[in-house]
Amino acid sequence: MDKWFLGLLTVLMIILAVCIFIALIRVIKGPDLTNRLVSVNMIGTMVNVMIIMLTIYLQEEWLVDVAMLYTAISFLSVIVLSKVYIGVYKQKASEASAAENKAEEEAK
Amino acid sequence: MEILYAILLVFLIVCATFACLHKNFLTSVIIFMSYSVVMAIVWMLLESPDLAITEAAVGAGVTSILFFVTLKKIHAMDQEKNCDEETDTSEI
Amino acid sequence: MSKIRRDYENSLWRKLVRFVYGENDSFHEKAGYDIEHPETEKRKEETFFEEVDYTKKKKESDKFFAKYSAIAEKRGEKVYNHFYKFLAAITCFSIIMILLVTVAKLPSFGNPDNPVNNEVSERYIEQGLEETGAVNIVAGMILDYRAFDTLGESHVLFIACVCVMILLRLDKETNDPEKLKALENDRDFEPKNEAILQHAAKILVPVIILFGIYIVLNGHISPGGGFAGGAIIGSGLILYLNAFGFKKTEMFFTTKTFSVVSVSSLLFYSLSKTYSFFTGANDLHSIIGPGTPGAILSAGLILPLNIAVGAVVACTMYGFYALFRKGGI
Repeated sequence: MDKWFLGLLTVLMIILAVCIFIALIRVIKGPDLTNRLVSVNMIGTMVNVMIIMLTIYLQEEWLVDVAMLYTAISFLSVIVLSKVYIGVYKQKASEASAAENKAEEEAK
Repeated sequence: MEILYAILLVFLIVCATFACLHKNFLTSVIIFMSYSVVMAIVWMLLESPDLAITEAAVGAGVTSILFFVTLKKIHAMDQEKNCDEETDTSEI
Repeated sequence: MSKIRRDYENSLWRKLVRFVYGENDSFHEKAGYDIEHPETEKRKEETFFEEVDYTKKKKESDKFFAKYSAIAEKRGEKVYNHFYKFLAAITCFSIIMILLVTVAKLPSFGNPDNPVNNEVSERYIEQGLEETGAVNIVAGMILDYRAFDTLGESHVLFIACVCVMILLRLDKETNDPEKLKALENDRDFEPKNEAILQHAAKILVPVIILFGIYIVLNGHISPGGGFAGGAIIGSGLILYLNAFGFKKTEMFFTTKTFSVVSVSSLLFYSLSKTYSFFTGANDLHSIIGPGTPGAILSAGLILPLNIAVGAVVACTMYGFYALFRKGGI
């Protein structure tokens, strides 16, 4: 492996790490849940790219296993969270509309 | 390479601190999720592949799912929107 | 001179002394009225021989003393709170300092002269492949040298799942139907039969479960092993459950499946390891040899033990999720 190639990989990984850090700001500060979800997904994608770069840098094949596993599983928690949260949100909305209807009937 | 180490370790410390300090449970769990994601890379750099695989499978997948379902069970997600609105008004 | 005297009279120390000797109550002004001892009133009434409602008087005095003591308590609470915060800060700070000093005294990372690198780890690294037949030294360690720890871990997982079942399971026969209906309505608002998720799950679930089986079976050759592979299989099942709902998963995974699979795996683990410990920890060399390192059918008992651990972990993960969502597997 050429020396300049490894150096290039290192620089790219450092840039990716800085990008992960920037995405973390949105996770912590983000005003809404959606911002946080999207930025967590972004962190997952960048980590995946970083794992594959590490495979080439360290020249170890087993790291590809981890990358593949991570690709297959990382979206699952986001799916579960969206599903549960949509349920809670719709329940709240329906309760609010039911309360409004009741108030209107009482007004009549 | 040491710069990469330093950035990732600082990331871990920031994540751990804010996961403890944040008032909203759901946000804490999401920050914890990103923590375990980056922890997998650190295990790889420390050359412990078994831990890296286990962390990627359990930490990023199953643990956060169980956390979300538990939050739904104890009705901690219901206050989520109100909390956000309050923080919005206070920030403005 | 007089000024100094007044300062002294108003000083905290003087107030404290007065408070201690009872000359002047420091709560006197804060209470807002003069303190009259109820006994004096009583004596007055006794001298005039009037008929007095003593219960009413007693109630009033009780009320008064309750108010008085509440103010005193509030003040004490305030002082106590300050003291408590101060003590908490000091405790936290000292613990942090102790831990930091301990970390500074630790031997440096990766140093070959560290106390961790003793003859035990040397033996594991040098003769692990020979004695256990596992290429992955970690698998050889946790399922051969330290198999008893892994037995305890898998039992802990099983016991945790059983405890969740005790707390959250809802029987259809004994529980009242309203509660069950409320629980079903709990999931009523969530989206069902989403086309994108279902089509993705159709392709992904077999791949994920196959990958988990690959990691379980190759636990002694490549990194991974029972725990990670079981978690992957469990997440594949959870994805299937999210896409297709409980009715489809109940066709192949019920409480009976859960109990049969986990109990039989734990029994197999316990029996095989008991036999191997009973015969002098010779690892059943007479029945299953270590084989050629690198082949799948090698490393003695490690492969079946990995499969047992993976089955327990997969069942536990799926069981947790189903119990939390539905109140039953």
